[in-house]
Amino acid sequence: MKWRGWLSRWVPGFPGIILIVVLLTVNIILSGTMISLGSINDLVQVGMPLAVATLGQGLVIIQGGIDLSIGGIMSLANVLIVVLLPTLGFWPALLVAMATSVVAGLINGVVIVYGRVQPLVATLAMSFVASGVALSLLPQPGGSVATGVGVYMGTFLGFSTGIWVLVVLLLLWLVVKRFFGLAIYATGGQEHAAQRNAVNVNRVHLWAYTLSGLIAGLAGLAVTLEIASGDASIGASYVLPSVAAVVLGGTSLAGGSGGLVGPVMAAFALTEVSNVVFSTGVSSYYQTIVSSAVVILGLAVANIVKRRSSLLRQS
Amino acid sequence: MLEVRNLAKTYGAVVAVQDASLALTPGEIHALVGANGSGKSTVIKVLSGVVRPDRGSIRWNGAVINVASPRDARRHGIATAFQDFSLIPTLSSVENCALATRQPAKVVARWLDEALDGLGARFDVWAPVETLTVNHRMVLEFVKALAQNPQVLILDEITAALDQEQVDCLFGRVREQMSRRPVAVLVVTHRLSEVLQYCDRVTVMRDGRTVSEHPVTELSRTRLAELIVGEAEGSGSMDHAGTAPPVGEPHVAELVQVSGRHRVSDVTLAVRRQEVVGVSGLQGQGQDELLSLAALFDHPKKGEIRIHRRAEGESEGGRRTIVPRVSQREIARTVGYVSGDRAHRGVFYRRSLTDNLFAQAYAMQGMFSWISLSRITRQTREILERLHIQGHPEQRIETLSGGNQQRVIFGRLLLNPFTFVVLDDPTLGVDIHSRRAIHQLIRAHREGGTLVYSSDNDELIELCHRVAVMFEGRIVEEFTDHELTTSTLGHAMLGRTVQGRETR
Amino acid sequence: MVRSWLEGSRETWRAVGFGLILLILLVVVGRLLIPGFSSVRNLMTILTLAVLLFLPSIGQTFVIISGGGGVDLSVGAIMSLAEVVAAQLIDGHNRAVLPAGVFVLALGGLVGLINAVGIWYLDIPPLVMTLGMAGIADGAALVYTNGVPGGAASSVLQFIGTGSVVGVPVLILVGVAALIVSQLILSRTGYGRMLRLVGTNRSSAQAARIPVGAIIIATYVLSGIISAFAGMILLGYTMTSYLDAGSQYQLTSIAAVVVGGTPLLGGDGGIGSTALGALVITLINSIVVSLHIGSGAQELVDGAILLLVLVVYGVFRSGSFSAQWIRGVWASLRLPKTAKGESP
Repeated sequence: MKWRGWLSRWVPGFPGIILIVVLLTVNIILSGTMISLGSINDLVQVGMPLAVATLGQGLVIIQGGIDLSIGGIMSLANVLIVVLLPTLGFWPALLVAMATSVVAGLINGVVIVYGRVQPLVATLAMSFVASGVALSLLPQPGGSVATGVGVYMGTFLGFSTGIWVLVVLLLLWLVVKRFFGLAIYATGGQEHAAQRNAVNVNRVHLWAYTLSGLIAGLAGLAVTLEIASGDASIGASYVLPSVAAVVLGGTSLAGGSGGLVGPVMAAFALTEVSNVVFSTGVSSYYQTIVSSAVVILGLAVANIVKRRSSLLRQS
Repeated sequence: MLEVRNLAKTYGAVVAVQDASLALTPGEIHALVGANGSGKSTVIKVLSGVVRPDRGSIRWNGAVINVASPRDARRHGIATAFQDFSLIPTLSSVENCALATRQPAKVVARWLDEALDGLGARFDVWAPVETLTVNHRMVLEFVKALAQNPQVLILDEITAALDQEQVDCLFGRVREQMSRRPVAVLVVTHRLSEVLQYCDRVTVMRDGRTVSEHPVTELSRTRLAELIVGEAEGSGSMDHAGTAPPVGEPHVAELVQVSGRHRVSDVTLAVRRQEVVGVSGLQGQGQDELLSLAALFDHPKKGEIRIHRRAEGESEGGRRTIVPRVSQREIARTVGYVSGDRAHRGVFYRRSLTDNLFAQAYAMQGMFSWISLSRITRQTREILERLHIQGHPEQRIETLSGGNQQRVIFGRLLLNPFTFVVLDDPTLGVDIHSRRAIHQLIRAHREGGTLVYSSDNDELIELCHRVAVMFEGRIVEEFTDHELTTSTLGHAMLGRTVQGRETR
Repeated sequence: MVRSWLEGSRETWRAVGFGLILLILLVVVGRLLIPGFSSVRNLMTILTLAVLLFLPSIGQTFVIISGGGGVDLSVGAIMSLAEVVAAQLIDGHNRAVLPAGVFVLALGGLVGLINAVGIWYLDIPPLVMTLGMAGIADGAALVYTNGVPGGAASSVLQFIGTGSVVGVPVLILVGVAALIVSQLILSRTGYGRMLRLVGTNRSSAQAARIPVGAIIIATYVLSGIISAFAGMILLGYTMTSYLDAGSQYQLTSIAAVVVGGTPLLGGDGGIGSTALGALVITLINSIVVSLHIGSGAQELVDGAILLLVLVVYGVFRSGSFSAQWIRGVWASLRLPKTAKGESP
């Protein structure tokens, strides 16, 4: 009886994990080199912004919403750090950027909870606002960031710093899940039933969007450290892939189920797709086609497998 | 002692409760009865903090308490098992109980299996609740409420989808809990036999008011029914179908050695024109699967299902045979279906009466048909008149009471005389008035044959010419005429014949 | 007559009223801020721009009504693809318009069909499936043009996109025709009536023998075809093709539907309200653009106004703007204090 519970909790993360294994294998075959710690560290560095963004997206999706403002907030954090760095120094600039991200997330939450706006459009509007502010502050890409880049690009005990950060974040998630998990899942699973169980759903929503804002800010930090400069439109390309990664990681868009480990794996898998396409040497025009096709096929295969296995269980 | 005094609640222009007062004593099982729309569920919702009343107070031992939210209700030790559930579909049973009791999942897992087992529900407690049957969900909802160890326990039509044995166990558990600590229990039910058998005291509601309170010992079944309806009830309600079984009529539906994917195995059953055939059995003996096979929602794994429709424009002799693999449109023209699970298998909330009535008619006409609004509006008016429902065709269906909603769904049978009608517990949670009206509609269906399942044996005896009893996926016995009694059915449901020998 | 024509639920009506008020308000604001804003010529321009947004929003409305998290993120990409392919096929020749049109509409329908297959048969969430197809369609446009789109609209197409008949831009006529036809499809055909029921409650629809799968598939195919049509029209408007001409419509088409008052949960909503939504969004956009405040501030103001409109609308729509709503907000703001020690 019990192992089934464990299985049902871990199976949702499987597509993401399997996908990354498959893609790494493909890459090894195509590039002819063996997998190394170095190549994993590279992947983590490049995939970090999307992975962190996916973390926030996953949290929001599990509690029954969606956050399209992640990209805008990422850009805003990136621009704020770059613009404020010369006058304030790295840490104060970082602090301002994170505080702004939190506020943006909080506004999302307030608009959704008290303004009764549907999350999709509320966060869409917020993404316009955030990237609008970013664009006003920094109309042309530029600026440079030196502080922290060294640390970020460096390694600790052989693993890239990014991995450690990610591990810390995922552990944090486990803690959150342990104490608030049921409330989060209940709110996403069925809001009015959660209310009947005396869950304060408004508070869950507010916290989730605020946290997602903060996490988007962190993703903005990751992207800043990676490109070491500012770009007011850098975040846009992470929004929809973060949603795709969440779903690919086995977490239902309907909310109330799944986890965050699978989505993070799937985020790296999506990054790895571009690496694979790159090593095959085909035209970059095919890039979007291939990565989109991988998302669709990955989900299709996962769903077919799921259906097969549930049929087997029935008979 | 929990007291409700002079409660009133209106939703927009609709007065749900006008003046309700109620007193619950610890150590007593108190029943709240009344027709649909009499305001019972609103009283329950107020007590559990889901709805705030416009007027009135709730007192605990004389002191006014504020129950403004489910959190407040919990603080005051009020736990409710809701008819429409308070379970999170994506979470497992264990997690749901953990959420409600604020116990760690590990602790819950230790007692949950056993608690469910005692109520005749065995299933994987780690599976998401959305994969469970309605029966299992109801048991879980009850166990979850009880596990909160409440001072006031409210059971809102929780027995509707349970079989007799389970209901027995359920009230046994309630009594057991009461012996340990003085719990005040409030039960809402449509089944009068439950009130008489298990409850101590009963409050009757009518048209938004609590009209009277009685000790159960002073009441008879008929008296109780009279109180609910507010008039002397005719005594003929327990009669048979009234008409003689149609002997010479042709078969409209035939199931030949049909086996399904889950429970149903080797079932042979035929329904004649003008005949009403019932299906009975304990929970989970394959009735739901049999009905879904007969209604052509599923394909059988083995065996054959044939439905014979009179071909259009042809005389009595010309017939067309429908099998499961025919087009949806063809099935839509032939098979009518009404389920007691209104929210999921019947009613379209937020849509007009017209759309609810014409849903299957649209399907019959196909995607490319042109719909004349004036024609369907006119027809809706006619049907509403025949059903004695006050309403405008454009009115949204949720503005009607549950019983009237169900009658509108039955209106589909008036709109199109289906050859074969499948009814899945059609009066589940429906008040006496509407139930009677629905029974008349079923009897009046002379164009085709009817297959009906009901969780209430009395209803089958009242409606059917013939009742087949299922046990472990098979039909173990069929009863007609004078053999058709509560006791014969009860015996057969347990897998025994009347003589008491095992049939397996 | 009018009532049955714009038939819809009470919420939709409230939304229409709200949209009209908003519309008038925006025109007044525009007039105050920008000289010559309310001139007939300027309003006609805004209307034509609104039609360009309205066309893809029609398909979006159908998809959103179909429920089950239905949303079509591929409308913009299909528009781009259709525009690029049509431009290359037509290349200024009037006689090529019809065959190219048929081909392009079929292409849009095909993308829609693939969407539908993924969503209905493979259980892929619509958001992700249509997003994936958007990526594929965008990529296909890149590959097809090799990064350098060529070709041009012909004179007929240009006339549709930019010409006018007795002072009325042809595009506006196209928009009105599209409004009438699609509203008739929604309210007077078996498909339209069933679509609403499917969007309201899928399992009840199945129980009533409504062919749910066929309806869903038809809806996505329809949306694909409509988007391709919009792409053709867009080509007529811009005359030459750009690679991601349609991408701006990917999310604004959803915003148009929602601002029009159609909730994303399916079942409700109508084409008329979507037209209003498209008009409101275009008006906001034109006002902000005419302010000449730089692209960043433009986007910022755009988003802020959209947010404001949605909040005001969200509070009003639920009919909840009342003393009770304020009490409720107040109560839940205060809750964390009283709920101490009881955290889940």
